[in-house]
Amino acid sequence: MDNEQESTAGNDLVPSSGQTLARRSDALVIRGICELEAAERLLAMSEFERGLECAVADSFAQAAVHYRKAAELGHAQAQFNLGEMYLTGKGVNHNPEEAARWLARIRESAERGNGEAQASFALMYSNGLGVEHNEAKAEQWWRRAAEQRVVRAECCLAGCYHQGHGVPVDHEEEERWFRRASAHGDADAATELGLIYYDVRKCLPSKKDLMKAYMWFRVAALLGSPRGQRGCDKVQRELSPSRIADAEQLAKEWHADNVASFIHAQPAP
Amino acid sequence: MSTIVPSRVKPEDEELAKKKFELAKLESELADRELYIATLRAELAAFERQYLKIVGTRYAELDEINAQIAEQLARQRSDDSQFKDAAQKARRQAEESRSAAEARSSEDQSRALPSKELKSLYREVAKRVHPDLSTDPEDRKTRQRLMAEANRAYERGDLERLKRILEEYESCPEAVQGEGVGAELVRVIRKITQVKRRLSEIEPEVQQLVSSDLAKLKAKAEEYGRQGRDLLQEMTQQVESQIAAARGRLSKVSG
Repeated sequence: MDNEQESTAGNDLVPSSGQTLARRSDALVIRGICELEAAERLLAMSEFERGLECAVADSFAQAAVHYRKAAELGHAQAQFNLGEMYLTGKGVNHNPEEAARWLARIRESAERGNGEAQASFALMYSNGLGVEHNEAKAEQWWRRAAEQRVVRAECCLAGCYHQGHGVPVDHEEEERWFRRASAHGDADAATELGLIYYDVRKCLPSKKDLMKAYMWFRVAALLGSPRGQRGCDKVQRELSPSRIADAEQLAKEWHADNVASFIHAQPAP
Repeated sequence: MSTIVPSRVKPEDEELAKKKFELAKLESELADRELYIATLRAELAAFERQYLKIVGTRYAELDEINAQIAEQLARQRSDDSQFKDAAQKARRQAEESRSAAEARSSEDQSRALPSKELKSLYREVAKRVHPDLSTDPEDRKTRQRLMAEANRAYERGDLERLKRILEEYESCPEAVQGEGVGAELVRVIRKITQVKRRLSEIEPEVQQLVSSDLAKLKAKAEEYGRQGRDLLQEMTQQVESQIAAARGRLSKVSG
């Protein structure tokens, strides 16, 4: 009976020519794949941006061309936008099957754990695009994406806590996720924090704190946001020069401690 | 008076015939699957050789230049052990890349993918020589050796070797077979079990191959090909621009 126990395939007994060599060359294969994928991601991002620019300029047919290129390279939000265009017949011929094909790719990729796709899948639930509108499911997928540091999902999750979509209203959680998004370099999230402390959002209980408002607008400005700069200009009139100087200092420190270190920690493209 | 004796088929004969039929079907399936996975391996190996020759050698070149840069810096900053460590690391990386790229690119590049003739010959070998089609321990050992050899010959595209393996096995003295229908039935049932087990092992092996990094890259190359593009060429250009930048750095640190 012994011979029944052993592995019977000839293939297993003697490695096919040089498996040890193959293993050594794996590093070169993986290196090539990584560089290829990085190049494709960059290309997808630039095609997506060009698509957005065209859409803003109302040339939807041209936008669809760029979105398609990005979508084929796996860019989830380009797949979303393209799917939406096929559903509405904007820039392309109305084609629900084609829309479903792109939206299904988002879902598959989201379920496989891709953060960007999870954020786009959440947006599908939030907008009722290709699926039944469902705030609770949107919130779940935004959370998964946010936990993977997808910045737009972090902001949307903060929005869920603000509006009570899929979760009870919770301004502490809202602030926490906006802070996280700001630390990940998102200027809009920092602007939102400025607005919260400027009490534009009328949170209950009120969080009005002009120094903090100034600080977050300044962080947003440091992240390149004109809205942040405008916020600073406005709050400035209501604050004493010494408190402004303190808030400036806080903003710089926070930026250096959080954003700068996060950006340095990112792998080089 | 009639002398016709009704031909009575004994139940064990009937059972043996059934099992033999089942085994014949399984034998054929086994040969197909072994051929499939061997072809998959051969195709991946061929693609890997091509990749290493075209792209891998460029990475080796890049790493060589980077090692020279690091060594130059270490010479200039001999007081700082950090530079020395970096130089050693870069040199190791360059050696690894070079040996990985060369190990395979030195092999015969002209090796073609399995031809029809090669495929059908391999299938024939698998059908006749496969170790799971024998229950005799000595015979199985012979078959395992020959099958492993056949796998290598197939990957090399060595038609002659495959033919000789087939001849060699057929000239082997037949293993002594036990007497009687009962003994044969036991043998056939054991063979069926062995073949079924091997078939169930092939599937995960195929899955592993298909989901490997190499297969991923090969699929991508084929996708590019359908769009009229050459993936390996594009990857090469990408590495070559890195090489050009590294050369610039090298002449700067040496100059």
